[in-house]
Amino acid sequence: MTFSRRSFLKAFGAAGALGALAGCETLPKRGGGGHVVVVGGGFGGAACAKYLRRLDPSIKVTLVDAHLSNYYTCPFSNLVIGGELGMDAIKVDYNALRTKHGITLVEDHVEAVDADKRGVRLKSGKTLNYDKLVLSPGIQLNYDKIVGYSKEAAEKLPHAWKAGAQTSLLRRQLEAMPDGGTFVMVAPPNPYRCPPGPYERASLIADYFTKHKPKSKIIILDPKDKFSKQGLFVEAWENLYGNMVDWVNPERGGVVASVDAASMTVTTKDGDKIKAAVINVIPPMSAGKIVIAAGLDDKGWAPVNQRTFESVKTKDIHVIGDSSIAGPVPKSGYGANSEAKIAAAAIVAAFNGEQPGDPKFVNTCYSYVSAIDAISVAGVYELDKDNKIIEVKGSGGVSVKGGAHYRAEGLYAKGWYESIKADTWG
Amino acid sequence: MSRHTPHAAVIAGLCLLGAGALAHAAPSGQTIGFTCLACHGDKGQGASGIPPLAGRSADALYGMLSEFKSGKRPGTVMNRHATGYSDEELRAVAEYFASQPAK
Repeated sequence: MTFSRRSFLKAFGAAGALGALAGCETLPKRGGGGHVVVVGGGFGGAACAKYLRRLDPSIKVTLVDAHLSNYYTCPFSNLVIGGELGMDAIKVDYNALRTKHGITLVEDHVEAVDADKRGVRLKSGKTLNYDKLVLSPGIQLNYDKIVGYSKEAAEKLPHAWKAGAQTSLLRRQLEAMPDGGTFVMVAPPNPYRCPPGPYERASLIADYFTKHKPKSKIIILDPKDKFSKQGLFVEAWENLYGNMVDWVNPERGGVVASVDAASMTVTTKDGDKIKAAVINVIPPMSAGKIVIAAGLDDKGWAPVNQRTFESVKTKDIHVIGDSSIAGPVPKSGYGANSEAKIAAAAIVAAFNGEQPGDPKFVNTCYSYVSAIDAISVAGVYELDKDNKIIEVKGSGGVSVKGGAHYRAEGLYAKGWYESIKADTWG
Repeated sequence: MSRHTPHAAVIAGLCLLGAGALAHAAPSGQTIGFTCLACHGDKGQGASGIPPLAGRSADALYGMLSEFKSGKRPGTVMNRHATGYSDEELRAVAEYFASQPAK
């Protein structure tokens, strides 16, 4: 279908038509009604809830999350770990979703989905019935995939891959570490939430060590041969931190066999034992627990219709954000926010008996390489003729090497964080 | 909505026609514009070092986006975004932000 708005306007031939079409976008009273339950209040779920109401205020929206009163964002949590920000800077306030957007907030755990009865059972015993369900639970950490690791061990060897108490714990351990200590990170295998995240974290810890504990070392044990923005990270580490950061790929022995919290040791598959003062274990991940419990996954992640993000397994359930399989769109806050708006538009279209339009997705991930300098990766995505998400040819990519723009990007990263928080929860 | 009142019937007609005719059509200016808000302020008002978009002239916005796309205008991240869109899509998103109130 190539009948474009442009040719339509040309055919109509009046400035008034432009105003009128723009008016379609500012008159959101679609009126189809319906009740949508959104599970998960992160970048995906909260944005979806808000945009459902923005696009059609006749829709009733209920947002459920167990952490509405103490939710912290993963983006910018590495700045807390590096000591640049306090926890209050990454805390989310959900009030505007209720007061400005009329969303019903329920702070509770979701125990089960009954797709046949279109109901969501909560820990409190209550059941919420839906016309459409949106699941945006983020990720589940698979502790048992690493010998010696567990939820209990994470109290000593933090993952800090879900922001909150784990973030503060890792920060406190780094503060308590003596100068000359070793920090070991066990990096995760693909696919995982926030591809550049582990390397941004290493950068910000290196910045902190350089300023306060310059004799310390950072070892990243990685099961991957390559990682996001690798060329830029490695260049920045050499330029800013000399040889403080040692990235160990599988060939050099980066694959971890086990961890031991009692002796603070990591043992690699090659048999090396590394003793460290602080150990950050980022375990393998899969879709959120509820997605798997509801049988919506395929090998740990949820396949979805790439136009609507409706599960290919169960009707009227949409899975967005980290849990879904979205082709080349990364598992990032920006990606989740972008998918949320497309899913919201598709749900609104369905309630109003319309066809959803072609989607367009965007991602931008800023990563700090120091407390003030940042690099980025960007991508623009659309559907191919088979309705699969692809990156638009010739678009996207990473920052220009060399650092000339890193200070500016450090500033833009703050603007991004401010904007996406307001766009998602404001 | 009072500014549209004299044209209410026309608007309603166009919206209906628009919804039908545009089914599975190219992404709308609004669809594209929504993705910009994650950096350019939740109302397109700009943020820390990032310029505003809402309420600016469609021609000026389209001109800048085209130059980011061609590489004529240097940038940090916008060149990498602008290359993801057809000229029609850049025009549509420029018109979308021109139609939004300046903050």
